[in-house]
Amino acid sequence: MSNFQFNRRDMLKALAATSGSMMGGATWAQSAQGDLNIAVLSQFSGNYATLGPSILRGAQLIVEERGGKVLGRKINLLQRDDEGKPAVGVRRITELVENEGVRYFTGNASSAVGLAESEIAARSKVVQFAGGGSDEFTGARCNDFTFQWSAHPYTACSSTLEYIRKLHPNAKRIYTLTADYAFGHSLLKYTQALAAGLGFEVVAGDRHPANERQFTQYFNKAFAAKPDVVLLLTAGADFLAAARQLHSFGAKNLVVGAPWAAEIDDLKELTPEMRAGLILGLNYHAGIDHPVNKSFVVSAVKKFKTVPTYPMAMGYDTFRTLFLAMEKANSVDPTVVAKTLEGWRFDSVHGGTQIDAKTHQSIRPYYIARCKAASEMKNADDIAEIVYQGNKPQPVELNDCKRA
Amino acid sequence: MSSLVVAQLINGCAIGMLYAVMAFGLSIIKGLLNVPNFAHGALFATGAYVCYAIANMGLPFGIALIGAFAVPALIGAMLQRFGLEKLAKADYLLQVLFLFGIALALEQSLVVIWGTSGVSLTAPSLLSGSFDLGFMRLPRYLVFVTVASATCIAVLWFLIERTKLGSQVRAGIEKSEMARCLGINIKGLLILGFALGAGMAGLAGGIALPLLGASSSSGNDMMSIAFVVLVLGGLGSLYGSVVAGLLLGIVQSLSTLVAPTMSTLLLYVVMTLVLLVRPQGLFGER
Amino acid sequence: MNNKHNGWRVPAILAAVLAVAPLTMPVNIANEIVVMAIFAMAANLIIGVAGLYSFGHATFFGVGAYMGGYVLAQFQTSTLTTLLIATVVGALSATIIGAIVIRRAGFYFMMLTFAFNQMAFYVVLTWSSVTGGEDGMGGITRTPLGIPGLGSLNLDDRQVFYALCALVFLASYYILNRVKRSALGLVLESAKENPRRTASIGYSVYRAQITAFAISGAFAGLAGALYALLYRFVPVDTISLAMSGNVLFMIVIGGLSSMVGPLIGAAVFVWLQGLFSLMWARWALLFGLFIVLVVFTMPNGLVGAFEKLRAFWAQRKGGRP
Repeated sequence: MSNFQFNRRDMLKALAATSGSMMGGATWAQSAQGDLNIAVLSQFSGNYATLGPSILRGAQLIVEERGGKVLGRKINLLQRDDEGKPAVGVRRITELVENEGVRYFTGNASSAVGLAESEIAARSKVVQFAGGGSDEFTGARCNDFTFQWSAHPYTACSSTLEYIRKLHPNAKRIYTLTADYAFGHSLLKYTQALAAGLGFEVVAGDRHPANERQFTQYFNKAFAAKPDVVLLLTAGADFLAAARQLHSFGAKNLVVGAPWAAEIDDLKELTPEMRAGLILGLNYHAGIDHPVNKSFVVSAVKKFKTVPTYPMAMGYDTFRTLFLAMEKANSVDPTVVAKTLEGWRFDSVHGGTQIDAKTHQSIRPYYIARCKAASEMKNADDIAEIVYQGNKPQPVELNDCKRA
Repeated sequence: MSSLVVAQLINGCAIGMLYAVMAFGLSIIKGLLNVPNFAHGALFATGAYVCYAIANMGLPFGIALIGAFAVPALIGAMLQRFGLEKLAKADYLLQVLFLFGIALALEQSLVVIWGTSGVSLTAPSLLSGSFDLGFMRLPRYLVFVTVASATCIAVLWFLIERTKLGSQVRAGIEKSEMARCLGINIKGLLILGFALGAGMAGLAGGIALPLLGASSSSGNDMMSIAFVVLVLGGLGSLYGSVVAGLLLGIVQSLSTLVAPTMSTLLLYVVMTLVLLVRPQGLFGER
Repeated sequence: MNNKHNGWRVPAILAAVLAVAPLTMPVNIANEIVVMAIFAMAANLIIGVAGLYSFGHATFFGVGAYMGGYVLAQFQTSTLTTLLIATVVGALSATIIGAIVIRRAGFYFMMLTFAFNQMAFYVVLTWSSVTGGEDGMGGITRTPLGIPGLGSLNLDDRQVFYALCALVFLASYYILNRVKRSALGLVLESAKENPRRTASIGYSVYRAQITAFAISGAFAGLAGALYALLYRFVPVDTISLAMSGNVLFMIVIGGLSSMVGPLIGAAVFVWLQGLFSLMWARWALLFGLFIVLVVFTMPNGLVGAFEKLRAFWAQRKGGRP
């Protein structure tokens, strides 16, 4: 092993590494000056890979409705996959902001991803219109540039409990199964805060780690407490596994509620027997009776041949709101637009909506659906009917946001 | 309270039997081929999806379960014949990485075929609902899981203990050098062994489908626990896996009464202690 | 062997590559490659040099990331202090865990490293008040880098931060490479071939391996802290089995036998992940097949493939180097 040999070998390796990296450099796109770059950063792979494409479609719809322009500037809509992981989301939004000049983005399905991204939004001064059910977006981690499109978990819990109270005047004992992370903790906190006022008592509960697959041991404990109501304060795959296994116990008179567990589409994974009677909280449904929503639904059906659900509505409504705010402010500067949004009352797909000036929470209704039994279903897509709408906002004393 | 303990005990038995089936398969592969099968989880998921596909075509659940065994078994046979056999002389690490790579490719293939959201299946009506025992409700399907897993293991026991082929498998696992000297067709045996082990993983996936559903990553946690069971039961002992699986299932279920979030952590603490204090596990020899 | 000359040439070439890299790709990708390369080199000391197939190296990387992230988020410690803390904690945890896991060999060693990784993962997951649990640890800011005598540098500038990481990488490469070529490295490699004979000659294999673990843990922890600083966020998969698997892939793709291999492996991995995931959501399928390909055709990784190519050319030319 002489000096010279060693040197050349490593030179070859180094050259290979450099030329390899140069090929990577070619793919990053350029955009013209004056254009407005916006992005949908969402899940296009992994367990919820249908969410991203849906949100993107909603965004494409509103961009198209406006002829691809706002305030005379061309709108460039970019998309990236956050894979449902905070690390990837952070990486992607950093790339989007620093390499592509994106100034407005939406699309997170997971709270953890959205919260991680909110730090980038605040630091880079780009507007984020987030989704997700954690109260930290508009609470402890509120900031000048993050806005929340989904309803507040307080509203979700109150709407769910109000409806259960309406349907079952005698139900009293609640068992809670809570996802053991920020989103679940929020739901539990507000369930406990609201229970007594509506005549309920949370008699027992368990926290389950994320991606739990076995829930039968928790349900053994649940049944020992003899509940009238089981609240599944969890979401996604965990919720589906829990619902499936709860059903296997065959408890007949049990009321099962899930304030923020899934959107109607996700329920297709369960068979009608598993979900019959389930009371589900929703951030959106296509039947909302307001001109803005009606025209949105008509356009969506015309272009995509499908009735829109929450993700498409979120993609559509967030950017629709942002574009209207830009026009109101006569500027595309995120700082100016953010200020314009604060305290603004306007019409969205939900009808009358307001954005809280301090917390940046969207104040709008939350919808409660009841899943139909197989015999009630008119067709395979007729999974649930909307039975109630609640809109109690989070009381100020429960809010942790410390913005000026 | 004691009725709750009994409920958790029964729950633990059912889950434990499922772990045992997984670990049994893993044990066969490790014993015969001396390689930890890091594709075991992906094979579990494959079995679950195949079961779903067959049941969805309208065929009986029993046929679906056979499919859940057969398809992964076939994949396992091919992995051995075209993969591990060629790597037999190569470094241990490469064999392991081969299985890792296959696991990744297999899991993603499941997504390509069946989409990204998971699937679920309702149990056949015979196995649905629950027995009301008074002090607890016992889901019928949990009973089925226990019985089916036990049957599975019993059938394999019969194959291994009472047939000529089985004795060769045993020889291959317990005294492989001698088996080679005696001229037993090691190559064929290895292919059969991997197929059997992979089939067990797939069958576990099929049995678990109505309970846990299926997604491309659903096998990973199962596989991790299967390794714990393997270590606890002991390498070189097929039946150690069964006892260890039951034990771990019960420990996990009971610990949810005390500290649910710690229950998985506890499994790995147990694993570490076993490896340090008694590496041959409960029943192993080497 | 004339080590003095070798010692400066390769780092010089690497420095040139690192300087050019941000011009050819987004600087945050280059940055991630560099940070992962430090982690991969650290792991290579144990896996490649010592031949101990550790399936839980993310434990030390994660410990460094969380520790660094924690002190930054809670106390806004200076960058140097943070990196120091992460390095020390990484070394300490590796020494303790290393002392335990090397009591067993082969499959049992592998399972022990796996068990410790899982334990660390579940501790992080459940201790969510400190680590953020499933959601990861946020609120991390980059504090200025104080260089005595020169003032302080604002690390918020991504080019400046990249330069810092590149310098740390070069220093790490130099040190780890020297360790590999030192007496310690030779003992480790000899123990990889035949532990009993090495011990019988009089070398304490046990002590050598623990020392290796300490060094490996130190650099892994350091890489972890840089990772936390890079994204100002520590996701829970930093300490997961998947991360241990990823670093293993990097080492094998690059090549176990040299310390340059990990850099190449890290570059390939991060680059593939960044590039392919934009094109096809199912890129991991290709990646899995790529691993299989590497295993069959390039058992010594890309570095090994290069060596073969070079030897082949040399042979054609008549044997002159």
